[in-house]
Amino acid sequence: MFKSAKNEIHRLFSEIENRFSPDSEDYSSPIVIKLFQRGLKIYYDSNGCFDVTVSPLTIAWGFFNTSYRVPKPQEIKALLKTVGMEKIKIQEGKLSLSPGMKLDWGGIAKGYGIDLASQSLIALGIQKGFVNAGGDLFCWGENPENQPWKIGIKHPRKSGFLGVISISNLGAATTGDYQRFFILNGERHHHVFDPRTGFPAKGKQSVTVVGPETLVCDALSTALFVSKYPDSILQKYPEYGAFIVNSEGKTSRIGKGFVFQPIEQN
Amino acid sequence: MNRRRFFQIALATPLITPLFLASKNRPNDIDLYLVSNEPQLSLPSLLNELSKSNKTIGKKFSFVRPHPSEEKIKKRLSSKGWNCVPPSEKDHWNFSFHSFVHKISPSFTLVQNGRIRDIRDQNLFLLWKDMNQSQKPSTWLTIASLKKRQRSISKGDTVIVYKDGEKIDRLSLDNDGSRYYNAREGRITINLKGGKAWISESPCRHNICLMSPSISQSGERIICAPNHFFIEIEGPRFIDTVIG
Repeated sequence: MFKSAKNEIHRLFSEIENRFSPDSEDYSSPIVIKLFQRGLKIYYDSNGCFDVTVSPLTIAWGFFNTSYRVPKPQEIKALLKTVGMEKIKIQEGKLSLSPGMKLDWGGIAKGYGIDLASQSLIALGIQKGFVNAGGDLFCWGENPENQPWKIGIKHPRKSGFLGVISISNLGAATTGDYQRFFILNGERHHHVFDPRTGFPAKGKQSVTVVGPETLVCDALSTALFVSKYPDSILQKYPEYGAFIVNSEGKTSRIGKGFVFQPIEQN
Repeated sequence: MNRRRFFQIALATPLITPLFLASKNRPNDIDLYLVSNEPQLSLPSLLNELSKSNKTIGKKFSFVRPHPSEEKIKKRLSSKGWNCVPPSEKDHWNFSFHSFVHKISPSFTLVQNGRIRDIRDQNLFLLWKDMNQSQKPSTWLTIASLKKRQRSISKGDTVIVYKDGEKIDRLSLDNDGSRYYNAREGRITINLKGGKAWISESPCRHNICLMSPSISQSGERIICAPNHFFIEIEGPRFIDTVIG
């Protein structure tokens, strides 16, 4: 069973990597169309705070090849014409992009892959476990101590953890300004863009979302990170809760409650 | 049941020992260990009695773990003038819950500064006797802590190195130095110093692994996804995995 599980995980994540890597321009496969449609709903629900069309911004700011730079406002204004999921149509079973548009699945594909992998493992008969892919996860059943799984949330500024959440049969995903960034003239520029302005979103260090689907947690963690009104977004997702660290390091929780034990910070 | 015997059983629960050990370092902490499948019957009286000697703490409580009788406890305590507050609030009783594999007689024990506190000079003895005689053997343990009971995340002792899904090396955090590994895109270097580990060289494009802070606590990881390579700290742990 272990070998089957391992092979299945490898197959699924290889497919995810092939379909959704930055260099891929696969716009016709059913899996891509399905993920686009899921993402489109979250795009509208978040008033554009989550958006898979931000790739031109990612490239312009140098995150694609680590040639980091701060683009001029006129450049950003021009690039914004190529950003916006509502500009993409589905025609003849294929995504139709306008010239200059490019897709960045980074805020949703990982969560999707985790959900698919978890479902496969459960279907194989694995009754308890978690799939943790690069910091987002889904867990089911109980841990070896017959308790809910204890998940440490990374501190956005220090080594160690903010706290521990105790969950089971749920996904969790974090978006943070510490995951990919550069510092220029003393200012941190990170990779989570506000698709409406073209600049890195301000006001938060990290957002962790917990809920039934990791795909949704993944996308919502980005949306809530960008939005000034995360409460109003989460009201549309009553099964999800979020833990937010603002830019001053102050923490807050919104949405559905989950068990969280803070860690004393030294 | 003898109180010390009860405590020996409670300590056998893997999760409890670190909390007990941690209490030694927290002056003025009181931990109440209550074995009962109906904690709502005894908690109000117990907490009222304990709160008499801690007048600065109001009648407030929160839950840090789910409990099958959570709503009953809330209702019962609320009817006695207690308020359920968010866990983030200061100065209140924190409730956590664990289960035993075997049933044991209902009982409670107080621990203060890492020592079992004698209850014979208080009204608590009568409560204890009544509980022991009137309630059925139980499998649930309620811990009510006066100070915030932080789960003590422990420092790890070993770095486990994974490549392509396989464990390929174990490095002791006691030894400083550098180790080199051939990964898919080139060489990855791991540095160890002062009980911490980090990646100092990587051929990947985005260098997320290089930007990650050093790790030292059980369960922490640094991942280089393009190279299918990651390192994880192993050691006594109170978390199962990490996100973020």
